[in-house]
Amino acid sequence: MDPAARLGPAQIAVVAQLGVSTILLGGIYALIAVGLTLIFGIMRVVNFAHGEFLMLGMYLAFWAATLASLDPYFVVFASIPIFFAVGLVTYALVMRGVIHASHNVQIFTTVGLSTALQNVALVLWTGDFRTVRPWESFAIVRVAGTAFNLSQVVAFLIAILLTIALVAFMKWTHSGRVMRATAQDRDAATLMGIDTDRVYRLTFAIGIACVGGAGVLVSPLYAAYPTAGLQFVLLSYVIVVLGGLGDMVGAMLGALIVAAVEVVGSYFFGAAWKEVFYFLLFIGVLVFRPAGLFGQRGAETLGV
Amino acid sequence: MRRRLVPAVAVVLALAGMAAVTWGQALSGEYKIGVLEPLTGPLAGEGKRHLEGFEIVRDLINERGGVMGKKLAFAVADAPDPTAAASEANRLITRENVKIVTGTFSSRLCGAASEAAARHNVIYWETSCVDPRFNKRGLKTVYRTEIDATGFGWYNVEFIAKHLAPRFGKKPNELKIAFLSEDSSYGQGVTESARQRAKGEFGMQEVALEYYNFQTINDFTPIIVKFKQLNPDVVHHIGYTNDAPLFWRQAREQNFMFKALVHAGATGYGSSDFGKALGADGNGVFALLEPGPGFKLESLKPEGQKIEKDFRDAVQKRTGSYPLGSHQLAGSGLWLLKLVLDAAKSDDPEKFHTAVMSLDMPIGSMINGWGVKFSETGQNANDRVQHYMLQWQNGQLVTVWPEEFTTQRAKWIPLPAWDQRK
Amino acid sequence: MLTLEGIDAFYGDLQALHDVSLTVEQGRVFALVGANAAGKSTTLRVVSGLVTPRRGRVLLEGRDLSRVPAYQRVDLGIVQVPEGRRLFPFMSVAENLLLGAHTARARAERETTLRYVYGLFPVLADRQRQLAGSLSGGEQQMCAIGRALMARPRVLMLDEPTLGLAPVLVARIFETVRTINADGMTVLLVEQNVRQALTLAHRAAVLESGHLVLDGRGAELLGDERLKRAYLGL
Repeated sequence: MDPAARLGPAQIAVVAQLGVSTILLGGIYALIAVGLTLIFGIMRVVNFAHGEFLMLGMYLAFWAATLASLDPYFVVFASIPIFFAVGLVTYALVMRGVIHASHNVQIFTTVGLSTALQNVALVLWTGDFRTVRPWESFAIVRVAGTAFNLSQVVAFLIAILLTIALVAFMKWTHSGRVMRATAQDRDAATLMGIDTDRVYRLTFAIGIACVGGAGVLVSPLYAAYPTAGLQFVLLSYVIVVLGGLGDMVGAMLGALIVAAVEVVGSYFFGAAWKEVFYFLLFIGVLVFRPAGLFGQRGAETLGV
Repeated sequence: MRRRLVPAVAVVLALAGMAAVTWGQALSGEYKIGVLEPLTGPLAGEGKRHLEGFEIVRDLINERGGVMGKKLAFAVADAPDPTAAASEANRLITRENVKIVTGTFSSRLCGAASEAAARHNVIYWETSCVDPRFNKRGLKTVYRTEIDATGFGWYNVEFIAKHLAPRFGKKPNELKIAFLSEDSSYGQGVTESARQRAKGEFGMQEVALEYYNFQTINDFTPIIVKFKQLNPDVVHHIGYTNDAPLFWRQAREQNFMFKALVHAGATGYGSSDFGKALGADGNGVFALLEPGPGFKLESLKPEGQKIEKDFRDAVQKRTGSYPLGSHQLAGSGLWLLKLVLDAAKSDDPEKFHTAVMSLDMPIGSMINGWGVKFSETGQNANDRVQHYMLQWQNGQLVTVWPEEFTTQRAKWIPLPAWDQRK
Repeated sequence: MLTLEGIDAFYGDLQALHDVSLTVEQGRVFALVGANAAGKSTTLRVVSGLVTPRRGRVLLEGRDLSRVPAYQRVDLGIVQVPEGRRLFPFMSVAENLLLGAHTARARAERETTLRYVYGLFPVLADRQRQLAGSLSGGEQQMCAIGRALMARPRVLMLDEPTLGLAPVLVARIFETVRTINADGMTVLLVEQNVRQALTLAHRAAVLESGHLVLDGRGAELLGDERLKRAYLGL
C-alpha cells in the first residue's frame, strides 16, 4: 500500500520531515555548487576537478581531527586561507596555461587534474573511508516532529551566508565589478586597465576556497575517500545549469530544487529514480531555458 | 665517473647471474602456480592481504610435503583492473607456463581473469570473488571455493528465520522485512536471493524493496521516513561503503526503531571503516562474514581444528593479529586446492575435475570450519561453506552465530532504544 | 607625445601593418583615416597593447612600451574606446563608468571625473541605473567615451566612434571630441567619416592596406587631390 495515500497527523509529520530534509540537503548542495558557479561564470571554465577539492577539504578535516584533535568547525576557518592558496597555486601551475585555450583543451585539463588528485589521495591516504567523529555529527535536533542533524543546519546556514556574502561582493565591491566585467568582455576589461589574469587567479582561488571550506563543513556528515568528490560533483553541474551559469542566487535555488526532486522522488518512487528525475530536469532546462531557470536570456553566452 | 661505472655494472651483472643460477637450481623441485592479485590501485590494500593469506598457507603446505610431491611456488602478477587481470593471466600461462591460476580477491577481476585462463584450457581457482555470474558462463576449468552473493542471501535468511525470529517471539512468516540495497551486481545478487528464500521458503512479509546507487546517495531520510511508516521487524541492508554509516546515523536521527539490521559481506557494515566511523554507536548491526573473534576451535572436526589452529598461529606470527577476511578466503581456498591436487596427482584438467567432484567433506573439516562439495559448474555448496554472523559490539565485530561455533552471544535482540545499546 | 616607429604587425600570417610610423603631439587631435581593413584599428590595438607588433616600437613621451602589458598601459595614460563600444552589457551605466576608473591613479579622482563625464553627457546621469546593454547606440557610445575618460587618459584613442550612428548623433560625437580636446586631451581618432575627421584634426594620416600613404595637417589633406578622389567621392 502506498503510505502517502493516507492522510492525517502522521502524514503532516512526514511532509514536514521531507520539507526539512529538502532544505538541509539543498543547503549542502548549494555550499558545494557556489564555488563551481563562480568559476564557471567568470572564467568560462568547467572545472571538472571541483569535487576533488571538496575531497581534499574533507581530508583536511579528517587529518586535523586525527592528528591534532581539531574540531571541523575550527578547521573551517583555517581552511579558507589554505584553499585560497591551493587555488592560487593550481591556477598558476595548471589553469593559467589553458585559460585562453579551447573548451576541449580545458575539459581535458580539468578532467586530468581530477584524476591526478584522486590518485594522489589514493597513494597518500589509501582507499579507506575516513570519518571524523566530532560531537556535532551526533547532535540531533528535534523540532515540531521533525529531526535533523546539527551539522546539516550549520552547513545550511553557512551556505546562505556564503551566498549572500558572494552576491554582495560581486555586486557592491570594486573587485566584484571587475570580476563581472572580465566575464562579460575580457578585452574591454583589459582596455580599462584590468589585469584579467589576476582576476582569473583571484576567481579561481575564491572558488576553490569555497569548495575546500565546504569539504570541511560536510566532513561530520560524509566520509572522506579518494573519490568522495564524485558523490556531489555531478549534482553540482546540474545545479549550476539550473540556476544559470555564474548566478549565485540561482545556484542556491537550483540546489533546493535538486534536493526537493531527490527527497520527494526517493519517498514516492524510490531512491533508484532520483538520478533519472534530476537529469530529466537538467535536459529540460538545457533545451527550454539554456540560461537557467532564473537566468537572464542571452546571458548563457556571456556569463554574468 | 664513466670509468668507475663500467666495472660496477659488470659486478652487478655477475652477481645477478650467480643469483639466477642458484635460483634456477632451487626451482627444479618446485610446482609453480599463477597468482593474480590487485597489488596497485584502489583494491591494493585487500589484494596484498589476500596475497599474504596465500603465502602463509603456501608455507603451511610446503611444511606438509607440498603438492604432488613438489614444493609449491607462486608466479605473482599485479591485476589492478579487469584488462590487466586478463592480460596478466595470459602472460602467466604463456610465459610462466603455469597450469593453474588462482586469485583475485575482487568480483571486478575474477570474470576477466577466469575467462582468459579457460581460453587456454588452464584451471582457474577462485577463492574470494562473489559475482553470481562467475559459474554460470559454461567455462569448464573454472572453480570457486567461496560461495557467491546468492549464497550470502541464503545464509542471511537462515539467520533471520532460525535465530532472530524465535528471539523476537515470532514465527518466520510473521516477520516484516524491508530490503534495502546498493545496486551493484553484488548487492542485487544478495538481495534477490534473500528475497526469494524469505518469501518462498519462510513466507516472510516483504514490506519494502529499495535499491540505490552507493556512489550518489547523500540522504537516506526520505527512505527512512517511508520505512518508519511500514514498521519492519528486520532491515536487510546491503551497504557498500559510506552509505552504511550514513543510513545507520540517519536512522538514529529519525529514531527509526526496528528489531535488527542484517548485512552480508566485507563491504559497508562488514568493513572495519564502519567501526571506525561509529564506534559503540554502531552496536547491534549484524554482518555475514568469515569467522572472527569468538570462533571456537573445539567445534570443528579434528582435522579441521588442526589446520585452523596452525593457520591462525601462522597469521598471528606474521601479522600480529587474528586472521582478517582476506587471509581467511585466500587461506582456505589454497588449502582446498592442495587437497584436490593430492587426490588428482595431476594438473590435467580432466583428472583435476574428477578429483574436485570426488571431494565430499562435512562442515568443520578445514580452515574457517568449511566443508567441501562442488557442483558440476565448479561452485562449492552453500551449506558446506559455512558462513558466520558477526555483530558489532563496542567497536568490534564478534562471531555470534551459529552458536555452536562461537563463545560469543548476540546482544540487543530486539534492538532497544537508540541510546540504550551499551 | 605618442610615437610609433616602423611598426610591422601580423594577424597570423597576414601582415596588417607595414612599417607604420607616426607621431601624435600633445594636446592635438590626430586622425587616422582609410578604407575598411586598412589597418586603422590594428594601429590602435598595437598602441593599447592588445596586438604585439613583430617589429617596431611604440613610445610614450620617449618611453618604450614594448615590455608593458596592455592593462598597465592604461595606468600610463593610454586609453582606448574600442570599436563597437564594448560596454559591459549586463552592468549599469554607473557600474560601467566606475569600472573605467580602475587604476589607482584614476580611482583617486573618481568623483571629480564622474562629475566631468556627467557634465559632458547629462543623459548618462539620467540613466545611471539602466543596464548598459539596453541603451541606444548613441547613448552607448557616450557611455563608452565616458568610461574611457574615467581612466584619466593622457592619450584618448577612439576607434570608429560614429559608426552606425544617425547624422545628428555623429555631429554630437564630433562636438564632444572637440570639447574634450579643448579641455587639453590628446586624441588619436580612427574614422571612416573622413571629411569631418579631417576638419577636426590638427594632423592626420591615411592608411591603405597597412601602408601609411599620406601624412600631414588635417586641413592640408582635405585639399589633397588623391584623397579627394579616393575617400570623399569628389
